[in-house]
Amino acid sequence: MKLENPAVGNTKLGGPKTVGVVDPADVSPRTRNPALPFFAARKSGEIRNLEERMDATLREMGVSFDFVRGEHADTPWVCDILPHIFTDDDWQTISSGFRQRLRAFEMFLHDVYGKKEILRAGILPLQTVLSSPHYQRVCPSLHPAEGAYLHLAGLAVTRDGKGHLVAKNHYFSHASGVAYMMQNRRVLARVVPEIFRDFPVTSIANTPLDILEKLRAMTPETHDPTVVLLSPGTTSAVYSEHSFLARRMGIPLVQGGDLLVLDDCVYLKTVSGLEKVETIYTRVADAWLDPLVFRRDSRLGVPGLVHCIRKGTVALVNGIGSQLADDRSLLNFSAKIIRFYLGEMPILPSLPTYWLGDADQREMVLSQAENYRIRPLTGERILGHPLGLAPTEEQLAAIKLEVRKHPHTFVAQIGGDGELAPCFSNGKLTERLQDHIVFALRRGSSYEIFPGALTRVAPAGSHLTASFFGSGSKDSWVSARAGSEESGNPPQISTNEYLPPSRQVTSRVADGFYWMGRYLERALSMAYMIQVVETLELEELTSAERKLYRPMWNRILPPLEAAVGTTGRRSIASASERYRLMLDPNVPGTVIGTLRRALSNAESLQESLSPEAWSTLVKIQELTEKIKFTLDQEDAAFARTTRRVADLIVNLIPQFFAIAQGSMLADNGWNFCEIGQMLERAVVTANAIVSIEGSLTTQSTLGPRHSSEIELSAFLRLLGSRDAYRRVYQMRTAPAQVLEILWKNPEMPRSVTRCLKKCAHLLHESMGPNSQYPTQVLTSVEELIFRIQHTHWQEFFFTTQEDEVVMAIPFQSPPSITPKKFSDLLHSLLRQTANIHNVIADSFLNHQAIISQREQLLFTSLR
Amino acid sequence: MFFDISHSTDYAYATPAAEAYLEARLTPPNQPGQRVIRHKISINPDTPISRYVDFCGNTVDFLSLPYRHKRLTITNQLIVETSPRLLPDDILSASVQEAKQILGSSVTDIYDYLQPTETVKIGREAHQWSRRYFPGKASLRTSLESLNKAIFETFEYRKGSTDNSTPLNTVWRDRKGVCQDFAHIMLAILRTAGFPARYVCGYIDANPVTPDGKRLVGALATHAWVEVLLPGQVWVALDPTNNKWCGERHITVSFGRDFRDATPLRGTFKGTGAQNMRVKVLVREISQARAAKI
Repeated sequence: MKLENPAVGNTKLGGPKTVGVVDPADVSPRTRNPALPFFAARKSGEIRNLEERMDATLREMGVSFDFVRGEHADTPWVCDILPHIFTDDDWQTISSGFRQRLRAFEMFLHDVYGKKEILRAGILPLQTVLSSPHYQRVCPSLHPAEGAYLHLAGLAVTRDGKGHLVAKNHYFSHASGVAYMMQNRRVLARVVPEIFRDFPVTSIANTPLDILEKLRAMTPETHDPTVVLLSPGTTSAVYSEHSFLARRMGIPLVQGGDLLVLDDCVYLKTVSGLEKVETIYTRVADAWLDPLVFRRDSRLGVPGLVHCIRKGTVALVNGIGSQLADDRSLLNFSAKIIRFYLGEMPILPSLPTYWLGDADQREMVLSQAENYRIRPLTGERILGHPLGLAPTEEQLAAIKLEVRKHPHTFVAQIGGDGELAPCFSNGKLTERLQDHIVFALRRGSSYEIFPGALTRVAPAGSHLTASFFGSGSKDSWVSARAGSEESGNPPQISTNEYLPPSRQVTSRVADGFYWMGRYLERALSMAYMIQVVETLELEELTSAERKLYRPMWNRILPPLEAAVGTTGRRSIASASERYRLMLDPNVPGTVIGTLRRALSNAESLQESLSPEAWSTLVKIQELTEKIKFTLDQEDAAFARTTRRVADLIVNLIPQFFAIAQGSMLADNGWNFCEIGQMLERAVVTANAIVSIEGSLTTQSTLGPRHSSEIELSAFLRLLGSRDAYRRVYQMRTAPAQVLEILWKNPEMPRSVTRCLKKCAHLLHESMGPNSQYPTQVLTSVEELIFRIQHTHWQEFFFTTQEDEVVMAIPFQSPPSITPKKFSDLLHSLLRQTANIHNVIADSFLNHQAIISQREQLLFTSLR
Repeated sequence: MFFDISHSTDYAYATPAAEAYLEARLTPPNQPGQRVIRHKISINPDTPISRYVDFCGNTVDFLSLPYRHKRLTITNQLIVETSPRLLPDDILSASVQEAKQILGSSVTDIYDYLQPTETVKIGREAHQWSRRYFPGKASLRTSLESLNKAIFETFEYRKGSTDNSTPLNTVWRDRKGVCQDFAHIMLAILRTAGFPARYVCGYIDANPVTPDGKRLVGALATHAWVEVLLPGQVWVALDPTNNKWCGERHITVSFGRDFRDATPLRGTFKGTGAQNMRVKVLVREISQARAAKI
């Protein structure tokens, strides 16, 4: 099989060269690949099909790497169909070299955060350690869990120009990529299970369990410890990895805001209360972990976390301060470090790495900057050409300028781009540059190297392998021979010990759901009302009748708006005003603004939403993005757009709720969306009733009977309840009946009672047997329902003999019933309804209920 | 001398804060010339305190208030006895050159106090000043005293002219600031000259001390000055805001590489509204008899 494909040249810098034709038989012995014959026997079209299936399967598994940070561009992860296979010798060198490095750097960290003997002995320049941004002065007062800093570590390995294996980069503090290693194996085994038959591949399927077992063993004194994975959240490029690891280990994936510190312990805020956390596996860098100690502007961390570590109430993996081991300026000193602590020669030497804080090295590097990879002390950035090709004059000047500005924050590496290895692209065999990241787990006093790797493959025409640059990857095999010598530690977890996945819903997730529900319902109510008003404009009402709607609207709107943080009071008299209320992007209280809030809550919940529910939300999102807001148009055009948008929203939101109800697990997360929806609806109804207080108690200028009826019927229509009213009462609209149906009717979707009953039901369902809030919340909802049911609205109205119309009484009799009493009752019911929010929030979302209870106990005991 | 000191910090929030976490560095050390007779930190609302010692040697109290509160008051009360600080005359008579040689022989442990920090950056002016005031042959005493005096005379003390976020460059340019800025300027020069120096936060008694009845600057709030390390591991303290060696009326509370390490209260709040902080410091000299009674 002879295939043409331009491939990258050699490891020396320069433009991509065309290798031309690659024949499997021509591949050098070192890179000869036992899996190749399987593919060599197949036609290119067949291989292309397999490649497509790889891509599709990865997409289905939700594997992504968002190297365009913060843009939510779910970049698909790419895995080559041809695995990399380590020779036994290579694997032996890599694993023993990795272990040696870990042992030496563990001792190094203890030393530099303790007696500093290596510095006193003058082995390392003081500043590379003591001025490193990753040297944490807080460390001497912290005792790392199990007395070790490094528990789960990664190491990038490549070949230098002479073909020797070398360490290119430490990922000791954060084993970035470990999930991708597992995903690659899973996808390859699914798509081409055949190729696994002829080669004794060591399994890596137990990796998550190994890690979990390790994390659970960090606190031997706790029988069933709570372990969480702390992630920076969806803004992280590798969030998909965090989410995969948490899922496979069955532990909660949390963000800083999910944790709080109380009495020197860390707690997880969940909807069933505060749960003490024993071990945190962190993927948040030191600098962001605790705003009291590190960066004060960090919102990713947990204030007080460091103090809890200091007090030994929580274990952190890896220990604070570990990042120092990843500082590239130390890479060139690795040999000295290994020799100083272990008295050994390095098994796996470092790629030559020069620290540019040193004036001599800087001048040497800058005088031929085009030959080096210049990069920061940590992180994946590389200065110069975006594909790692020879920099242009301009790029060269920019490199020099940037380095001279902050020389001590850069290093330069040479000859470590990787080795050329065969891989498939578009059905054809080609060669690309590749390197590997291998992973280790500390077990007892030794390290288990996971028998596999994340092999990174540079894209076509590029010299850069880091995933950060959009590269591809390969599944990586270790033979059972090499792998078994290697692990020696069979997984100790017994297979019959069933670990149920975490069903714990954190308060942040519940809070997101709750507000998504509230905002969606609010946007729906407003869009519906605007739609009604727009329709009325088309109907043949007299202008006097039409005017009756407006004051009502003006009273309904402000509370709705106030709830989203604006006090602006807008009129709906003209088509352009209604248009603005619907779509003005610059005002928070508009329908579109409310929708945006709902969507921003939904975004943080994406992984908790079913794909079906998510795709409905995407439609709503497209709607909010598609419409161009402009005030430069005719009234008719305003009205057309308003109507069209209102129609869409009024359809899409109920559609979302219906689809979500049909496709989401009715767990605590989703329940809170419906609780939000129901409570919002109850509050809108209660609010609306207060807004027509005047119409209920005074007589209109149009004459009692006519005006009252039109006004109330308009009101019911705005709330979408006119037809329901007719079916229930089969009579003209009258105040007492309107109040009865809106407050008390058990079947009418808008009635406060019905909404609250649904809330009560959902809350009841949400409170598991272990809930720390047995009754408090339910009691307040049930008390309110009881009060509503025992309010007799008829007491405030009477029927005149003459025309049998129920009207607002001028309150002559009996004397105990006064307009003030009526008004007070309406307002107090509204307050009590709105207050349910505080009870829910204090109990499930911010835990004030528990904490204040606890504080009271504390103070009582002090007294 | 005996002092009765009360230092209260009051945070009032526009809307109640949901969670607050604080670190207080308010515990004065016992050291030569300073003996703490009584010390009490009270917090309202009452909150348990958890204590540790940080890398600068400060005793730190960690407070967490993860519940809703409208205001938070931290009061530091203290009775302290001070005595005149004796200066090591023999060491101060050594030359700058000799002193630097001795200090340079073991840098590992004093490394931090020789480095610039985010706040105390070292620029052109610091270099010029260090060359001017620390010629190799001059005695340490002359160098330190003339630097102290020069800062005092060159920079104008003006309350409110800077805040915690004012960069040191602005202070160099405008030649005015508050005690914290005076201390930072001095730190920059001392470190450039090769002398380990640390920031000190404390209290000062504002009673008339000079014959012309002038009061020391810096009372009514916490005060700041500088300590410099001499050969033989001796720290001496200078107050550039008042052009003095620190004495009986300076009460030391905390140390650091700069203001950020030593700051008496550092905290973070979760809440929507604005926060208003008010600080009140009261330093009263009392009799020995009264000190014993309290």
